[in-house]
Amino acid sequence: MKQVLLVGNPNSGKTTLFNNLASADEHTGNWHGVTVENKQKIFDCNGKECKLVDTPGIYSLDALSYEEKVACDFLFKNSSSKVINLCDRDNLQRNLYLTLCLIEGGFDIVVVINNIKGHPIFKIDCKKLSDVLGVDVVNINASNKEDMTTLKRCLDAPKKTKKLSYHTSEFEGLTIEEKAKKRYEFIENLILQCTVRTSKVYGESKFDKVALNKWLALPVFLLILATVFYLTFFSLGTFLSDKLGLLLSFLTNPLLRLIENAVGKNWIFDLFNVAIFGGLSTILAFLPQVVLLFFFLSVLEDSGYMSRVAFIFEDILGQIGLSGKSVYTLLMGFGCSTTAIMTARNMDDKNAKTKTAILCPYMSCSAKIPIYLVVGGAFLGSKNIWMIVSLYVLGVIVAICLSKILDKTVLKSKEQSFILEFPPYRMMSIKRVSKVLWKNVKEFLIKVGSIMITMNIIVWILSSFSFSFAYVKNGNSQSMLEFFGKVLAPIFVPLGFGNWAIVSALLSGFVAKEVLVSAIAMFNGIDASATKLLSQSILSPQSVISFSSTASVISFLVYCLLYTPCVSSVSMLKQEVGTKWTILAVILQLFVAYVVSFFVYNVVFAFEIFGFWETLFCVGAVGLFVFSLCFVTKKIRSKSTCSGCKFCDKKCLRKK
Amino acid sequence: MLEIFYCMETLDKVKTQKRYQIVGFCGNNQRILQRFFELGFTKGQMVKITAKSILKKVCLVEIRGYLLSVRTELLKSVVVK
Repeated sequence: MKQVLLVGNPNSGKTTLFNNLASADEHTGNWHGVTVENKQKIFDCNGKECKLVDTPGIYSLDALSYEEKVACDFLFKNSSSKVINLCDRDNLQRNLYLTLCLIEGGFDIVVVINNIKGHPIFKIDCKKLSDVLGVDVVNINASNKEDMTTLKRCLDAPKKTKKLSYHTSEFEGLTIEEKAKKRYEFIENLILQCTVRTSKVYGESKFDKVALNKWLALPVFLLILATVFYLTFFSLGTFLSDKLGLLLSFLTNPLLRLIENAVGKNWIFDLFNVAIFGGLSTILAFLPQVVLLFFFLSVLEDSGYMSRVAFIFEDILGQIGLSGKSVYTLLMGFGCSTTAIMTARNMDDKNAKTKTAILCPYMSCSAKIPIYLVVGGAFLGSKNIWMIVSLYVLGVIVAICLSKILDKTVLKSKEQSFILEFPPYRMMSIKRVSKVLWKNVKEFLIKVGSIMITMNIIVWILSSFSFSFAYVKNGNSQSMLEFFGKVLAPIFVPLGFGNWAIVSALLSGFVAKEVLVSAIAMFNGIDASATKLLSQSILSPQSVISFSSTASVISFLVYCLLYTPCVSSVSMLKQEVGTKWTILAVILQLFVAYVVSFFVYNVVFAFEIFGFWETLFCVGAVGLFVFSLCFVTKKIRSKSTCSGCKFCDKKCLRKK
Repeated sequence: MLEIFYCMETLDKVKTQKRYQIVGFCGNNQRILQRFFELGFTKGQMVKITAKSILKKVCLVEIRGYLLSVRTELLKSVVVK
């Protein structure tokens, strides 16, 4: 079977052409390095079956990275195949460098100038270009179906051979630098002869003066993110979630009435009402958020703005082992961890992606606010606002520390490519955005939805049945969850809240953090929507939920902030990073929550007993001691390992 | 000659938004130099640092009409005037 290879610079549109020519559905994007492995598909080329191979982007035939090696090895192994050399019309000079390398190497190539939509930087005379290069040159739009006929016609043409004017016998003896200079001189002349330059620098835009300005970049980015955040999690997102909720009630209410009439209000009714339809309503509540988050993410990524954000934040986040693109996922985690974790999938580095997804739940999501308001409001009164702010900050600090630890141990970040091409601003196409949305929504509904409903049913069984499988209603007998609450309560005594009801509420919070408040309300016999009344009920001496001191309340709030997120987040985590990392993440969350709560409880307790300044002095002294210990250890280690190697500039300079 | 010598500096130290001419390359890392040559960093070529990241560890370089993001430490290999 005839084989056709797609070769070109990174971000020149190879995968777009591959998808269009072979009717494939591979992931594309307006940034460097989307394709990292060869992809193959059979396509119809003028009535004959041909194999089309999409390769990762290369700059020349000398591979320097893994992806480039994959492409170059395949190219040399299949040197007799037809090669489509895709060149970006607006960055022709650098793209033609690879074309010259391919012609010098004797490959059978067709040069395809990708005519991307928008104002062109170059107007190209393809015929003249073809005459000088001695190969077929076509000017097409890689995403246009009709242009594929023109391209297919060229694929049947016989191989053309022409010696390029600079490619003399002396050329082979030149150094790499001299060869590059000769090629670029040839390209400069070629461009003068065959093109008309119409505008400015490729990739440059007036908006970059703001987007890349050292003072304005951060405020502009935060403003854009605040808008996305508000639209997704508050105004538009909530509106759509409510409407979907109403639609679901409209559809399920007759069904529920039918079940009630048939079996009465027993466990079967509750199974459908709470576990199955409850799970469905949770999925539907998340659906608008998934759609909106991915819509904004694809717009920001395809436009090229996310590459600017990654450029600005790369070195800051790189310090803690994250990628510049982690910013979006982590900040969206303040809205909802479940949907935010899903957005980590677009990151190139697998370890950075896993770390970002694991750290996302440490950002205090909006579902935790009712817990802070009810429990914190009851005990801390007007000071609760400072408590809430501190909790948000604590979540970020814990995430930073964990990221650093994970980066040093099990999830070392891949060294980022040293030189990356900067993509231009491009208008996103509605077709592409809708394709991305459909793909993600489908995956969310089928894969994550099924896990969410299953987990919902499991937790419902645990909270509704006793060990003898007797149905528990309104707390008449002990449910399995309640039993576990009583068994686990002593573990939480060092944290200041070893109360079975609190532990049971924490266990039920695994379904969703909102359920934790409902559980507290259920134990105290209050309506969960009446926040003030609920807060007052916790303070009453008859309350089942009781806290011994302010320290235990703060410790409980810290535990709620850091412990395992809801079932949906865990399901999403499993989907994105796999079972092994999900189990590790859950264990890590439980461990970190326990340790931090224990520390916070004891420090606040000491504040209450010994006074503010005395405790601050003690904590400061311990902190200083630990810091000094770490500093000295680091110094000793750096001295013992530095033997004046050529890789470590700083240490060598110090030696000199 | 002496004047030219004093005018020369490596690309990691130059001011942003100002054009410079490449006069040579230094350093032993052949992989990085090769990549620079392939990307169009040749003697006599004009180059400009368009922006720097917050901690100034990455630079945005304009060369031959397009933009590249390059680690600042690597720009030590490019000598400009």
